[in-house]
Amino acid sequence: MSEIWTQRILSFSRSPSRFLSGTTAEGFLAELLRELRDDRATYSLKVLLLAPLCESPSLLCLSDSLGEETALELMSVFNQCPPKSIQFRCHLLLALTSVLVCTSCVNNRSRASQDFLDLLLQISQDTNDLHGDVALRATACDCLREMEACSPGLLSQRLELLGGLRQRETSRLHQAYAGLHTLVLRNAVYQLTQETGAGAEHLKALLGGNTSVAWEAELDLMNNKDDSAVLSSLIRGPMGSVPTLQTGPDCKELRAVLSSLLEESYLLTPLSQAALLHRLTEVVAMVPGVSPAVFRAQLLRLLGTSEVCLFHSTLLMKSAFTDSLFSAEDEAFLLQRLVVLSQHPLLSPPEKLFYIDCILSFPENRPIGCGDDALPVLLTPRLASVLVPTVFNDSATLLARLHLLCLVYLEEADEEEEEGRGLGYLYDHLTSLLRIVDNGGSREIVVTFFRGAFLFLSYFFHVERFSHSLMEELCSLYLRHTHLAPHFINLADHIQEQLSESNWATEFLKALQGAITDAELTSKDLRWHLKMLARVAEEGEIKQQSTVNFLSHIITSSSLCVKGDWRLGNFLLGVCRRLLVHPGLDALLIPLADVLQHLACRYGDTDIRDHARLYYTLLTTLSKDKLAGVLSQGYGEGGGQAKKLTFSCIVAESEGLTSLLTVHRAKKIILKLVEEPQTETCETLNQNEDNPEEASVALEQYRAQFDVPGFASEIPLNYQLTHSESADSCFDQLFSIRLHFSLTDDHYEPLGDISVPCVFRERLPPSVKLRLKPRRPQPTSLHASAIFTTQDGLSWLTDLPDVHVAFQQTFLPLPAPETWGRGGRLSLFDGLWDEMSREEPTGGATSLFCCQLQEEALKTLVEKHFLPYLVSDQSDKEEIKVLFFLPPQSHLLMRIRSEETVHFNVATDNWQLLPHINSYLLTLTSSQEDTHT
Amino acid sequence: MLPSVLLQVCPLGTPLDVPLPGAPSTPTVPTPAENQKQPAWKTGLHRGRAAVNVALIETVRSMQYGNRSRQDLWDVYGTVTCKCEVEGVLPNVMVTLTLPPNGSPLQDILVHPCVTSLDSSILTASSVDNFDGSAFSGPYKFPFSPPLEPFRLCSYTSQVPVPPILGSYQLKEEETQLRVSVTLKLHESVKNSFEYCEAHLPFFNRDQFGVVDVKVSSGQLDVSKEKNLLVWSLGQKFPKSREVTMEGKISFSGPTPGPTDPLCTELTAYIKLYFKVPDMTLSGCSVDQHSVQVYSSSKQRTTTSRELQSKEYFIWNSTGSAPVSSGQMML
Repeated sequence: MSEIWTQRILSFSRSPSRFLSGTTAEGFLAELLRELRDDRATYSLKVLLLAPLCESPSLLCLSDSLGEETALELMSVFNQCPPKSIQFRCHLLLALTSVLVCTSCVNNRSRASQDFLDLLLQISQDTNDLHGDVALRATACDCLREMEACSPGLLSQRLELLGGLRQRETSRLHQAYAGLHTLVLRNAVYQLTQETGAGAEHLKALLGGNTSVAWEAELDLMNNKDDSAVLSSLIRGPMGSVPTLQTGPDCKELRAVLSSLLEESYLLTPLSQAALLHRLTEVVAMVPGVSPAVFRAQLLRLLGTSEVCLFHSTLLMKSAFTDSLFSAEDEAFLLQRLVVLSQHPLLSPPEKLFYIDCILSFPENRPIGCGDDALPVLLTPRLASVLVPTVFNDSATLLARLHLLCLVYLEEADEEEEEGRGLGYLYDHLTSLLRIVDNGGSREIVVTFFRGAFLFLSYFFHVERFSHSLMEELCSLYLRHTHLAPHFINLADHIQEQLSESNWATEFLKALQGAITDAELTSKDLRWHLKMLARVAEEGEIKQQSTVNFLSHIITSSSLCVKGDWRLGNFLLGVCRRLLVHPGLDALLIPLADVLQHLACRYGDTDIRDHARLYYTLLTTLSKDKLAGVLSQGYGEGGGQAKKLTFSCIVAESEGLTSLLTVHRAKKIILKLVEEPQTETCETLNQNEDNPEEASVALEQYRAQFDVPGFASEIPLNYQLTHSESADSCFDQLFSIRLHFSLTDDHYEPLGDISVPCVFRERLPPSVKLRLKPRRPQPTSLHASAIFTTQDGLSWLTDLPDVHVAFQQTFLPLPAPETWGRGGRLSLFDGLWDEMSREEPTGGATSLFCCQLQEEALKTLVEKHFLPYLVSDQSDKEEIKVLFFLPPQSHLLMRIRSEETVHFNVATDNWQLLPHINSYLLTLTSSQEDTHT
Repeated sequence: MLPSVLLQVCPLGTPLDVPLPGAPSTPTVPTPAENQKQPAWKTGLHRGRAAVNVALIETVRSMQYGNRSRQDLWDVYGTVTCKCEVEGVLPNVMVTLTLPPNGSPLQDILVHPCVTSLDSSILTASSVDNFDGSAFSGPYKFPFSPPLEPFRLCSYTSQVPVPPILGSYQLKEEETQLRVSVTLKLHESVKNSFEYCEAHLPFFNRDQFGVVDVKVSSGQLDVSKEKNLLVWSLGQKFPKSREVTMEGKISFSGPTPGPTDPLCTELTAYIKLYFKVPDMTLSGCSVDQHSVQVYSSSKQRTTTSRELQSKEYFIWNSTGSAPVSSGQMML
């Protein structure tokens, strides 16, 4: 039994929804609860049984009331559980918490959740329980914290109790209690700030556990409000505001609680300390009556440590309290400390990156500007000089430092006329990176260099001395490493996008054009040169004569045309295409026409010749405006219209290819499968009968057929693929449809995909034949989805309504040998019947189904539903014999006799089919008269 | 097993910040009997004889260019690692670092979170600040309550006036071969007793070694032809003169190209030094065995040690261009 449960729980964990499709959530939940109550099951199994409730309570408890019931049930299991099975009891508490939290029982303060809270509090107070009480109390504390976190304010009334628990606890558990206590305290104070008229009295009552004060009635207010504020951090820097509670200076009680918590914070692990300090910072920020000075005693200890989280919590305090806790000297010290930590040899690169980031968003006491790029005033170039990037830094550090230093020297460059040596250093650094790239640096260093160049330019593009010489350096780097062309194009693109006020990118592209057209040509560089020139040709301000000359030179003076490389041809056409829409086209008309004509006549590849001819025709026959109109369509906002694709996608490379390459997801259901109307062709039986006389011989011959693998193992189901009613008109014509089916259970073998060439709304729907291969003859449903292409060339994915396979759809006519006539079938029927109705346990079963049916009605019924499966002659009125074959190897036999009532004698070799045939017969006959079995 | 571990580390899906109980190899009892709260970061209690082990390791890094236009750089940082086996829930231990009379102050001090209190003067000295001769220079007292496992009590950086080994490295391209000339000088303040001392001379972006005709005045030379690497083992001691030299010629006429590096092209080349000197520190910092105080009833056994080791200790060829390693020297 435990084996089976282990398997079931495992398969549930693997895919809960798939598992539940084979059964029902209610059923599974009931089974779980029953098994949990079962005394015979071991506790380790029971722990496993709780896993589904802990992991996916909302899948099992579909309604709040069901959650409530489940929780009550689990609590009674808990109460009956012997104290020594600690593990199980701990897991029960977790499962209860998950169920109550996920089914919003906690938020509604339902009875079960109140009982459970009482239980948890009782466990947390019970220090006398000797049976591993620590583990149970630890879990109870975790559960309380989870419930408070999910439903803030839940435990506000218990603040005093929780404080007492925390103070009395001497084991390591005090950390968990401290976490719980601070969370509840913070939520309770927040709750008070949200109530009008709440003040010192209320706070005092809250801390003293005196719940008689009036605001109790309003306790649930918090749930009605937007919870996002209470769940997130309340510290929002100098510009944000924190809700406050006006208490006046008298907050003795709160101060006592705070100092007690802070005093013991040393005993917590660093992460818990940081969390505690964060919560307490929020509390003090909300209560102006308490001075932030309560934290002062901790500060030195926090600043001295190497723990990232503790340092971060002091920065949070600084952000919340500014000069009410930190003097100007403190601020200077803190910043200095940050600079030290950003380059400390013993810290890891991620830690150092974090500290650099802290410098960039340093919470100043008196910030001058705001925005992302404001450096702290105290960060002087001298102080920052220890953070200058060097080639020995890793990429991330290098870029972070470069960014920081750019900001530092940007201010310096603005202030002083001698554009500091610092800037010169940064430039030198960039060129030394360039040297490394030049010497064959790795891909990482290449990317780092280009990012660095972008950063540098985005701050210092106006310092011509550097931006100009960087341009020259880049051009010569390009000529030595043409394969880096995509990086150069990317740099130009981004500079252009980021710095619209600068023409650096245009100048840069112009310089590249000059470098390429003047350079000595080698064949391996050509494709990169063409790519680059295509980008240059997109700039309306750059004259393109030299590009056209370059094109004309390469196609006439080299063997390019003779070789007829298709890809190179496309690169050539790519440049031409952009030239066709260039504003300076008038001046290029004749040389460009020459180039295109040459390509159209001489190029070694037909496709390229065709395109060139098209361009040539367009160029020579259309006016400039029309030409631009025709070609610029391709530059539109990504596909959608077929016209945009009339020019080869490869030629127009920059267009919205992504939209073409993406599979879009249809919002509505577009296609569906409907059953094809049955066109029953009654099988004509073999006239040259070669029938086995004896039933046993017939059985033998019949069964021998199954030795051939795959014999009669498939059920062909015919469907039509049609549009669903809701589909938009843009889906009227669909092409290359690929249907994908997935199973919802394991009764069938997986199905292969099916391709359909096209579906047009106005034409006959194409038929689709599903070949189901059953492992067990059971009804099923299939998930179906389709990927297809629309007329505009976009690909789409849509889900189809589930395909339901009814029980009667799994029937096949008897796969008798072809040579047999009716006689053989009859003897087989008898043979099978005998076997099934025998006493001995062969797995066979018989059953009787009776109903009131007129003779005429019966006749229609048989003709309508049983004709393909009929074994006896249709004229035989006395007894009708029907045989359903259900692949892979099951049979359902029926003898139908009409007496006072109609008797359906059923025999089968698979008893599990009986309920199905019963309900099938019920549906068939229910339309007639009263039925009973 | 798994459910019980999960129950302890992340009962409701969010990992808890608690170390698992039961530190290895130390005898522990889970619950304290006293009234003192047990720190959450302490996984149990020590029972038995008290023992404190304090190890001070200083690391020196250097970039030497042998070039007037570029200032040589070196820096030193130290770490103090402790292992304390002391009875009690929250025992108090104090470790004191001392400097020689005119030693330069320890800077950028970082401490372990278990240090209970810090004097503000300890944190003031910083490597990024203007050097201030009047700064606090010890003794540096660190009171703490130790966790069970070994931990890094504190770390610091220090500015020392000279590098322990000053080197010069010169390469000259001579037709088909490369002339190599190296001098290494051990500073007189450094103890001439190494655990090991090796100089590695890699050569990049050239063909493999052909003929290596190199003489060293002391120590032993290994030639690795596959890696284009010369390894010069100097052994435990420099000679009396505290100076060693290497002279010779290398031809790169091997059949296949050697290793490549985008940084070290042409005459850009370096020597990397690996050494360790036991029982000394460059800053002069030390932990006196008798200054370690344990406030507990039983007498403890204290061991202290110190050593100096190198890391990223480069000497660049002065005839080639060397990469800049810190902006400070440019500004």
